[in-house]
Formats: sequence, structure tokens, C-alpha cells
Amino acid sequence: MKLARLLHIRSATMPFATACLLLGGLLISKELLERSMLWHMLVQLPLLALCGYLLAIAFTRSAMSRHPFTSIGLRRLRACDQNGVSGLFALLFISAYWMIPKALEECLRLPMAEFLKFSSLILLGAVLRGSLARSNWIIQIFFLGNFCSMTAIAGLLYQDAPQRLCNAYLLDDQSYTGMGLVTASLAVAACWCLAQLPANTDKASPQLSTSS
Amino acid sequence: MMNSQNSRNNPSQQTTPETRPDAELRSAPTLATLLLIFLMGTAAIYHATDSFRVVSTEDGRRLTIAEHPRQLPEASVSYANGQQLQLSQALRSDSRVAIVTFIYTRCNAICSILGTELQQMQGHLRQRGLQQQLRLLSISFDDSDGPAELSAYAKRMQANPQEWQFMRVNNAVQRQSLLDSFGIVVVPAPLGEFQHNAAFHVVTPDGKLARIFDYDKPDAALEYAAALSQQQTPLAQKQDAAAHQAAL
Repeated sequence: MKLARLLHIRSATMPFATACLLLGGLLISKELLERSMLWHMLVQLPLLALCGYLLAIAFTRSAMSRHPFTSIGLRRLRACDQNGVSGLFALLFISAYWMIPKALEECLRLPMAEFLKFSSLILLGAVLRGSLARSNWIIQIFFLGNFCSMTAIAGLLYQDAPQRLCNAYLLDDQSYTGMGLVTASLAVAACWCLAQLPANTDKASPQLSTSS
Repeated sequence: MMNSQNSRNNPSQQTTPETRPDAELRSAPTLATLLLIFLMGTAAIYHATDSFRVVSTEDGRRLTIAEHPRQLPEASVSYANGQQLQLSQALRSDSRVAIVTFIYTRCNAICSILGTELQQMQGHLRQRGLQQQLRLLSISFDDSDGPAELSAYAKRMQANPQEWQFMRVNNAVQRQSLLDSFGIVVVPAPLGEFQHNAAFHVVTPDGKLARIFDYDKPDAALEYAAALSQQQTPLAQKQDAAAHQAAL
């Protein structure tokens, strides 16, 4: 950040440039990543959401978000996402949808499904930035707990399935994806704990009292 | 006087709940959004899982064909004896219901399981005297399988040429469109092998893919194909008769 200020780069530029580079990279490496189920589900999908997240950071830091017209729109959006529940609820549905093997494989066949995948995940990432900031730890524990358990169960099913769930991916690849999903769910839970624990005592409690 | 005062007071009374909104009222947009997300999410998952019935592509393919039998595209094919003809012609001229499987002759894994199943099926066909109504047809998706490889494979599988025939598709574009139409996905695997979805495909003489059975259910495939051939025969005869009349 200091470096950015020294170089007279506006704070919105960095996340915006990173997001654009990331999106460009994902579009170029699309076919390479989609050749394997593991890379498709556990690298491409999370990076798409990260892209949206970075875009949201860039937007809130930019002057555009302070424009009267957009600030009214943002206020309306915030009214639809009190305590971040809508964004977190969307996380459950969108992640569940892309963990359906048939839905994932349709992206290889149908350009429309591919477009839907890119747009839904970027949008999800963008929404989650605000939703996570607005939600207190109890709401986060509910939704992220659900997300992690769903991902882990899907991972176990992927590892256990004796038959291929996607015709385009090998059986070994499928069981590696299963292991990856279980690992990812544990990693998300661990990261959340690490992010919360120091702040838990002094920051989260007043948040709770104001929201109730 | 009293009435006019009342009427003046009334609007202010009506607006009080709006000027002092409850917590419930304020949460209305969020609740509406949650409902919208729920409806859209459920609809999307309903669509992707064929109304909550399948999660894998293979089950989806089988269900789709069972509900909507599919007309197969035209392709130039060759039998193991080198005879070259169009697929529709090959299916119609034989006039038997075909149980189609996809193979490549170098296969060691799933094709050999499928091969033994087909060998047993061939035996069952004979035992039940169904040779006149059904036949087995194995189509290779590997471009390097020529008539020589196919006949060597047929010999290895102890295939009786009357009941079990082998076929290759001559044109790569047509082969792909045929595979797409069947829903067969061939993935290159390590050691020069292929992985592909294996199943029994029941195909009628008029070139329609009628039903797909799992490769561990050869009996069900045989039953269905036999039943289908009994339905087909009178119909085909009727069509023939109609064609004759038209010609006369």
C-alpha cells in the first residue's frame, strides 16, 4: 500500500489491475484448467470468485462508488442484504450448483453454461465482499459452517463414487477432486478461525450488540 | 367540526407506521431477496439435476434417451469384412434390433469386461432363439482400428459373425457426430489408452437410439431389445406393405 502511495497509484488501481489480469489469465487458460476436474473445480472456480472480490474492492475504493447515483443504488443493495445474509445464502446455492458433476461438465459442451459459470462466480465474489463485512460472526458461522460441511460431504461422495460422475474426467481425477474438496472445506474453516480469533474478544461483541 | 377534524387526523394516523418503520418492515427487502435467491437456486438445481433425479452426466444421458429416443445421424461405416455402407442402410438392411457397444480394439480395461458380457449375451441369444430378432454390434471409436484389427478382435472375442458384428466409422467428422449423438465421451488416458462411458445401447432398425442400459445389466438390455423387436416387426411389415401399395 505504501509503495502504491509512493508511486501515486490510486488505491483502487491495484485491485482492479489484479482482477483484470486474473480474469484475463483465467480466460486464456480456460481449456487447460478444464482438462482436469481438480483444476476446474478447485482452481478455476475459486479464482473466479476471487476476481469478483477484487473488483468489488476496487469499486468501493474508486470515486465511482461515491457518485450520488451509485450510492443510492448501493444503499438499496445493502437494504436487500442486511447482515450479509443474502450474499452468504447465494454462496450456498451457487457453490452447490457448481459441485453438481453434470452442471460442471455442461460447461465443456455448452458455451452458455460456461458464460453462466463465469458470471455467477464473479458476481458471487463481488457480493461476498460486502456480505462478509456486514455479517457478524454468528451469521458467518452458520453460513460458512453449512458451506464447509456441504463441500466436505460432496468431497467424500466424489471419493467414494465407484463410477465416473463426469464422462469427460478420469476416475482418478474425480477422487483427487474429492480429496481436494475435503481439504478446501477444512482450509476455509481454518482460515475463518484464524481471521476471527484475535478479533473475537474485542471486535465481534460490540458488532453483535449493535445488530441486535 | 368533529368530522372534519377526524378526516384531517386520519391521514396522519395512517402514515405513522410508515414514518416509524418496525424492524420487520426494514428487513422486508432482505427477506424478499432471500426468497428470490431460494427460488432461483432451486430452479437452477432442479434443471441441472433433471428434476432432482440425476447428478452424473451418464445417468442424465440415459434418462434423456429413455424419455426421448434419439434419431442417429448418418455416417459412412465399414464392417470388419471391409464392406462399406451408410449406417442407416446397415441398420435397416439387417432389420434386427441392434445392441450397440463402443470399443477400441487395444482396450484392456472396460472393453474386456464388456467383451465377456457380450460373449455371454451372444450365448443367451442362441439359447433363447433370438438371433432372428436381435444382433450385437460393436462400433470402434479409434481411428487406427481398420478391418484387419476389427476381425482380429472379433476372433479374440470368439464372435459369431451371424450374431455379433464389428464396425468402424470411416470419416472422423461423422464419427464425432455419431459419438455426440450417442453421448459417448472418449478421454485419452495414460499409456495410450482411452477412458469412455460404456453401456448397452438399444438401436432400432430405423436408426433410433431407444434406450441405454448399464454394462452390468446385460439381461435387462436383452429383455428390452427382445420386447422392442416384437413391437417393431409388425410395424415394419406394415410400413413395407404401405410402401408396396404406394409403389403399385
